[in-house]
Amino acid sequence: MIIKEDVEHELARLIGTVSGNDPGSDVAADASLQEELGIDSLALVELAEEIEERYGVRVPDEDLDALRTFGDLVDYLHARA
Amino acid sequence: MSAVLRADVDVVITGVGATTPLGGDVATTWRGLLDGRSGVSALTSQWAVEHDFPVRIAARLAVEPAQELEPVELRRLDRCEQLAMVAARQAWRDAGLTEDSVDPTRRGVVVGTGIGGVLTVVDQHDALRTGGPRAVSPQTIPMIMPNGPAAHVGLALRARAGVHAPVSACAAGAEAIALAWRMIKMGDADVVIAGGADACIAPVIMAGFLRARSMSKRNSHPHRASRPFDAARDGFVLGEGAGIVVLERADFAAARGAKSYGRLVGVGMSNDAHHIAAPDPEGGGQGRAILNALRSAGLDRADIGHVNAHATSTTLGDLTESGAIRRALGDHPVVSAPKGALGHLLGAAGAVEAIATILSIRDSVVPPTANLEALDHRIPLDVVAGGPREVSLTAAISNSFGFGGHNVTLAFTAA
Repeated sequence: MIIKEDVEHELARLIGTVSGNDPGSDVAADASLQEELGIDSLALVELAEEIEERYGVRVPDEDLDALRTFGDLVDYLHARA
Repeated sequence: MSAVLRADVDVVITGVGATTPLGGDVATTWRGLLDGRSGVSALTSQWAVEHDFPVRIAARLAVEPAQELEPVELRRLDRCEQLAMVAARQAWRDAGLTEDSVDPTRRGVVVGTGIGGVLTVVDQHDALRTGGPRAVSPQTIPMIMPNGPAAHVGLALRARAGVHAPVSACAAGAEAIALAWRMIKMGDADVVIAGGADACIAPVIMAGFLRARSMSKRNSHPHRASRPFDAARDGFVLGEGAGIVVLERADFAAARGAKSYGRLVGVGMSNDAHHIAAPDPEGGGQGRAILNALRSAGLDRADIGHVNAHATSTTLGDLTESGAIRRALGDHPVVSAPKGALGHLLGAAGAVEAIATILSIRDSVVPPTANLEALDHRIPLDVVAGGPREVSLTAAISNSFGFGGHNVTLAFTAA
């Protein structure tokens, strides 16, 4: 079982690494990955790679299109970790 | 858009940037050239030792780009793109440009490369072999495409007049400046950021050049290995770097109060169509590039006081160029070959050497050809050796030639 707040904190950090823009520690669940957090289509694939490395959760390419907000990402990870 | 070159449009150089084996900027590089200092050192990479490479020397960067780039840029940019970015930002700042100085739709970029993102190709191929396709970075294609350096610079500087990427081996940096000049002369842009970048000190590239028998093997004396026009030269030394200039329509630059280093008054290009990797030994193509530059500049051969030679320190190449210079211009120009100090920066060479040529005119001084101790007796030119020579210059040219038979000559005058 992983703690939700820890996950959010860690995901925000990974987003910062991949996008080059630190989103801060308090990211809104409805924040758009693409428009607000600077995760373009290539960066999303990199983010999936980071998540796999960090949590051992593999995000198949087919699932990527459904991940549109920060909340989507948190929920996705919770459902699988 | 006009389809003809406008005689009433002058092109000035308002900014310069470089990162080279002699220094992380233009000022340090220029000082190194004047001092005749060598940027070549022993190659101690594990691969060179493991594979017992017969060549153990290279001209590595003096300052790593990591010091000047954001972490995300280091992740997403191949090394040659990183170098282009470092030099472009220097040039942009040096020109005193800001976002408001020039409309993005009047802002162009032309950055060439000889080899491109080969370090990424090798890294990602290794990743593929060990981890399969999922181990390959999604940034791979933008990192290996030969227009990558131009595209990244264009993106960072919001250049919307056009972004172009000439790929002409060791002539790429000079060709980029030539094409940028045309963009301004044709009325397509007011400001163009132009130059070249290469970073390919990798085993497969070294081995390839080695197999082509064009590299110096003077491993015992790295500093003395690159010696253009010297009787004892035995090949070129592979280097890495980037050079970028800001070219600007003269009246546009004057209106915003920009300083000018000098004017790019003409460009000459030609091709040997002789051999894929060797120059036409008659030097006809090289001579035509020089004469084309003079014609486009409206200069007479007597006006050319200085030639910044391409001379890479290969036996045949230096000899061919010396003949071409002598036949096109006579024996009066003061000649110098910066590759003695810099090594061969491939697609960056023409841009870095264009900067040196401009600075020679501005400062009335021609740097020595590093390591030139005994001029090859077959070379009928006045080549500067030993120390810098003070000489007042009206006009000077810079030559760049590349595998594929590409010949480019740029002609500059004082501001």
